[in-house]
Amino acid sequence: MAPSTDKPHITGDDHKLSGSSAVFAATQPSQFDSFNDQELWNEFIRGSRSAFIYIYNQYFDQLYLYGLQFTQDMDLLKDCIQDVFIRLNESRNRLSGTSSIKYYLYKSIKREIIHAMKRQKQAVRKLESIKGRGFEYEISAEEILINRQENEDTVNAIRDAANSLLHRQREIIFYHFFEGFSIKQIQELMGFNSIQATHNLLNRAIKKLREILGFITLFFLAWI
Amino acid sequence: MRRKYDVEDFLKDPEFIKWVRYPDKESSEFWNSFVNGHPDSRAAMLKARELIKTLKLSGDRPPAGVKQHILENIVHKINENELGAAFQERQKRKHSWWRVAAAVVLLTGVTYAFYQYSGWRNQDNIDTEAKAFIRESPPGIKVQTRLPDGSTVWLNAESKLVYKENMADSIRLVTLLGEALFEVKHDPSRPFIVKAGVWSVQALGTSFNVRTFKTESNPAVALLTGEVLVSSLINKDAVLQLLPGEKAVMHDKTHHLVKQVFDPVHEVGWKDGILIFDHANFDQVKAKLERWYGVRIQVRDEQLAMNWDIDGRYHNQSLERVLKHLSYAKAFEFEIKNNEVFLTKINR
Repeated sequence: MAPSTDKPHITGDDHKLSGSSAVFAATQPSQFDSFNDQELWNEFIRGSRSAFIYIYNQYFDQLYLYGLQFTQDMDLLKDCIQDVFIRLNESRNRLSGTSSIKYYLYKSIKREIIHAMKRQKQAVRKLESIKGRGFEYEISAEEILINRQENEDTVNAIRDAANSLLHRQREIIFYHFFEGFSIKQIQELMGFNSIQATHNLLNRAIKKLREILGFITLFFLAWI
Repeated sequence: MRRKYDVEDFLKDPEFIKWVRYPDKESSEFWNSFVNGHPDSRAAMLKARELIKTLKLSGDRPPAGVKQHILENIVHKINENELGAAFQERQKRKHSWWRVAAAVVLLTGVTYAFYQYSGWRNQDNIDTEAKAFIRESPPGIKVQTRLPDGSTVWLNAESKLVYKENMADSIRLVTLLGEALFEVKHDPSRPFIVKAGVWSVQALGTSFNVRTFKTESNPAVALLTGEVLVSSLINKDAVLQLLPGEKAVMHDKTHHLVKQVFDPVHEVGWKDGILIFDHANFDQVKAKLERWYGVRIQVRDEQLAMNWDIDGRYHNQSLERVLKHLSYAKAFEFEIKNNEVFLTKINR
C-alpha cells in the first residue's frame, strides 16, 4: 500500500484483529511474514519445523483467548492447546491444504476442550447456559477515544447490549463480526445441522442487537 | 431506484465486516463510493461500523511465560516421538548424554536465526585482537571441554577447536578442525556459530555433531536436538535448516547440501566409545582406526586393500580385538608394535 498520508485511519487498522501476535511477529522478523495461510500451511505440511513454530507463535494468543470462552480452568486449557499442536504435527502427513489456519485451529481447540471437559465429567451444556460466562464483550480501547461523557454512555450501552444476548448468540457474533468466518465455517464450529439454522441464529442475534440499540445515536468514530 | 439499507443489512454482510476489520485500498474505495451512491444509507452504515469497532472479546491475557512454556513442552514431545526407537532406547540409559542435551533444547530462536543469518558473515572478524584459545585432541584421545559461555564440546580424536577469549560477550564463534559434538547453551541473544571446513553451522540452544574428516565419508552435520541452520562456505547458495534426527551431507564434487535421516549411534556414537563401520572400504577403515587408536597402519601387500566393504560395531574394544575380528573377514595377519600396525595378507 502507498504511504497513507491521506488515509491515516485505514492503515492504522491493518493489524487490529491479529492483535498481540502481530506485535510478536514484528519483533522477530521471519521468512514467513510475507506468506499467506496457504503457503505457510504448505511449508508446515512439507515438514518445516520453523513453519510449525511460526504458526504456534502467530496464533497462540488468539487461541488462548478463544479457549477461555469455554473453560476457566487454565490447566485444562494449557493441556488442550498443547495437545492440539502435538496432534497437528502428528497428522501432518494426512492433512491437505487449508485457506484458513485460524479456522482449523479454532475448530480443533474447541473440540479438544469439550472432550477434555467431558472426560472430567463436567456438564458442558450446563456450563454454556450459565448467563454471563463466556463470549462476553468489553470496549476496545484501541478503537475508541472516549473524549465526551455521552460517548462513554454510548459505548457502554453497546457493550451491555452485546452482553445481554444469549450465550450462543454471543458466540455466533464473535465468529461473524470479529473473526470473519463464513457461514459454512460457523456452522461447523457451532455444530449446526444446516446452513439455514446457522443463518437463523445469526439473524436473530443481529436483530436483537439492533432492537436494543435502536434509539442510540452513534457517530463518535472519525469517518474513513 | 436505490434501496435504503438499514443497520442489519450491513451487519449481515461479510464483505462489509471484512472492510471494517481489515480495510484496504480497494475495499475502502468501494465503500466510499457506495456511501456516495446511497446517501440515505449513510447513517445506518456508520452505525453498523461503530457497533463492530466498539467491542472486543473479553478475557485475560495469558500469564507471562505460558506461551513459551507450552511451546517447549510441544517441541520436546515432538522430538521424543520423531526421533524413533533407537534414540529413545538410549535416552533411558543412565547418564545418557543426550538426555542432558534434550533438557537444553529450545526452539523459539529459529526465526531469529534466519534474521541473524543475513548479518553474521560480516562478523567473522569481530574482536580480532582478543586472545585465541585452542583445544586440541591428539590421535587416539577424545577430549571434553567447556566453553566460556557454558556450552560443552566433545572433540573426537585428532581434532582442534579454536575460540576467542571473549566469546561469551558477543557472538559465539568457534572454528573446528576434525569432528566434534556440540551441546550449546541456550542464549537467543548470542547466536552460536561453528565454522568447520566446508561448513558453517548456526545454532541457539541445541546439540549437534560436525564432521569434516574427508578420509572417512562425506562431511556431515547431524542435529540431535534443537534447530540449526547449516550453510556451506564453498557454495554460498547452499543453506539447509535441519530438524532433530536429520543430517546435512555435502556432496564432494558439486558441494550441494543434501538432507538425510541418521541413526544417532552412527553419527555420534564415537563420543560413547562406539566405533562403527558402515560399508567402509579399506581406506576408510584405516583412517578411522588410525585416528581412533592413535596408530599408523601399514600394509605389506597392496592386494589386501582391495574390495573391502566392512560393516561393524565395536563398543569400547581394544585395537587388538577389532583387528582380530577384521582379520577373519579379510584374511590377514597383524602385528602391533608401539604405534605401528602391520597387516599381512594370508594366502588361502
